[in-house]
Amino acid sequence: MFHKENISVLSTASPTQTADSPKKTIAVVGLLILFLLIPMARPLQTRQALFDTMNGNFDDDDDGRKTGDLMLLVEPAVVNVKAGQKAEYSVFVTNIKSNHGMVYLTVDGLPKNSIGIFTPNMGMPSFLSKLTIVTENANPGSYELTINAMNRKQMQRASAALTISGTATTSTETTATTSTSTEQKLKITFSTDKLSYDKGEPVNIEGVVTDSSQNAILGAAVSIQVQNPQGSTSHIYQTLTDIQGFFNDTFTLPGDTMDGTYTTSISAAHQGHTGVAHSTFAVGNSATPAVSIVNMTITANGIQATTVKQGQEVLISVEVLNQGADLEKGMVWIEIDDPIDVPVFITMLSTGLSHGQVVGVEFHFFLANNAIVGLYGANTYVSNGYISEGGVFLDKEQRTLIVETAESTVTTTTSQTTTTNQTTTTNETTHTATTVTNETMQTTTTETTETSTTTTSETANQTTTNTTTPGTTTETSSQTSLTETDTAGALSQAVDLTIKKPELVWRLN
Amino acid sequence: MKNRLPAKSLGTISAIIVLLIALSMAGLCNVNAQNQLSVSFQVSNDSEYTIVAGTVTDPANNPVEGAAVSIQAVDSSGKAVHFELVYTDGNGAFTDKFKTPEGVSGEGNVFVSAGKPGYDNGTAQSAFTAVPEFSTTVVAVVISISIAMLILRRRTSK
Repeated sequence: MFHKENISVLSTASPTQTADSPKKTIAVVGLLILFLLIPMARPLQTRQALFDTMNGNFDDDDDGRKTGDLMLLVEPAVVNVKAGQKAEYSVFVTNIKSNHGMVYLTVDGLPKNSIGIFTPNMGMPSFLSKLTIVTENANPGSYELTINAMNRKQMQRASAALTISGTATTSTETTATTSTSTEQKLKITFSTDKLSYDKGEPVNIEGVVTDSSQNAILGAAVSIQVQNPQGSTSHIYQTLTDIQGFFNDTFTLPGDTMDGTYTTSISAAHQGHTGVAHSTFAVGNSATPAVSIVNMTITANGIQATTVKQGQEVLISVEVLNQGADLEKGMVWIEIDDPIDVPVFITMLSTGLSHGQVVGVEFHFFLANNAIVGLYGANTYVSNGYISEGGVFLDKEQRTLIVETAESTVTTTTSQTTTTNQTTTTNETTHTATTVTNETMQTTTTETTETSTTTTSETANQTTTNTTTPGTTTETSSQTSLTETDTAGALSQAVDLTIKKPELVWRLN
Repeated sequence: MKNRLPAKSLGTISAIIVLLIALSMAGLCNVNAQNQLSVSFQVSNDSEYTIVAGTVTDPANNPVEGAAVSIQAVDSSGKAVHFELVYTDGNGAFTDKFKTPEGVSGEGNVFVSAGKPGYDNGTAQSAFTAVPEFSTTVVAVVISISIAMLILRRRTSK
């Protein structure tokens, strides 16, 4: 459209101009060509507009990210799998020089209809992540993958190869998985550099936009809105994602901004697909709770895992931080859906959440021996009470879990480490992936449910409780406290509730 | 003289305080009413999913964009069978679809709570009928019984 308009102007104007002054025409054409070339020459600087209603300033930070400060290791360099199997890569991210905060991971070049899952997909260097690629329905062939690690100051890429042999599987489970994967919603992963700010402090927002397969989306239109505690928009920013799907925004809180809980809403759009994400941060002394899920991990057999087997015990750990006013009726909820969206685990617990505290919660459950194979969605929520009583969810986190048959194996050949770091100097890591530290203070909880149908017991020295429901075996275990009967044919639960004080807390996911 | 003035003042002050309290309470109620979000939604079923679709509006009936909509479904016995957090679009609309766990059937309730900074939460509730989910084992047993019955009928008719 833009080009057509310019061409038409030239075609109507040029005859007279050519006759009168050819030099003038050449100059105009030259300027137009220059005008068209400038944005092409700087593809990373894709900001369309910026309007900061908070301070009224226009901002134009230069990307200028360095590649030498960050080291990215991917191992193995080549993975060969049969169609339907999963491929796994270890991804290690560390700083060479200074730390610039959270680093995000994306991948390019995934086979069509495959799904890539980073566990975790962001972290504070140094950290180790695992990239798992589900190859069901992917066409056989050789694929060159590019793994991207980035934040607002640093960027690094690493290559890896994936070879898929044989033909794509067509099992029922595969179909179910595909139905989940083909849902083309954009996924936004973002964080603020802090969860609590003082007035006058800069706020840095950064994140990545990917498709449901974890492919980085270039050129997605990202809109960032920050609302103050009264619901008024205090900051707006619009930008485009770069080639790694990355975006960032920095603005300064005015010195006279109001205390309270601010809400950051980010929307992304690309080729008809959209996605939204929300989070909160506190400014000064918030009169309302500012609750965030700062960590959610899935472990099996004692190690962080993306893949678990049928019949295996799964532990989901959730850490919730409140930077605002005390939350008396805090509740942590979890729902795990199988590949065809049927909930297999639903439960909740209530807990107080004081200002500045982190509550750690662990949910244990066993997958059934005949659990459907495929991708499971694990969703965790925090609310300020029962929804039926007017409570609302304050935050939500999602994770993907791959369930495979007990016999499943991964075919991995070639173990050549790929590193894209140009420097081979000694790596001195100054920061670690920090979430919460300090002492465990206490363990208290009371358990209630939506109605009086669920029973609760609190036992100081209880260790395990087993509940069996048709088709599903569950076990609960906890250091202290609660057990609950199963909900809706799902599973029972176990919860370790530990309250800690954070020394430094970063939003991990 | 000195004693009368304070007594008079006290009476006046008390009256003013009572008046202010009454006014503020009335005002507070109005403020709440003015800021209250309204939620309306419908629940329907397709062959697989229960679908929740609705809108969030302000007191002037304007659609509210970006409201956080918390959804919880419970079965007939009150047990939670689903929950979700979605956000309204530019038209104040929201949707959610869910399946219920295996073994859940009959009528349940969907609770919806909408919130946004600057507004009081709005709530609504509606009944729904669960689309029953069957395990693969149950489906296999049903199919086997059906086939067996068909074979038996054929043999009997012969």
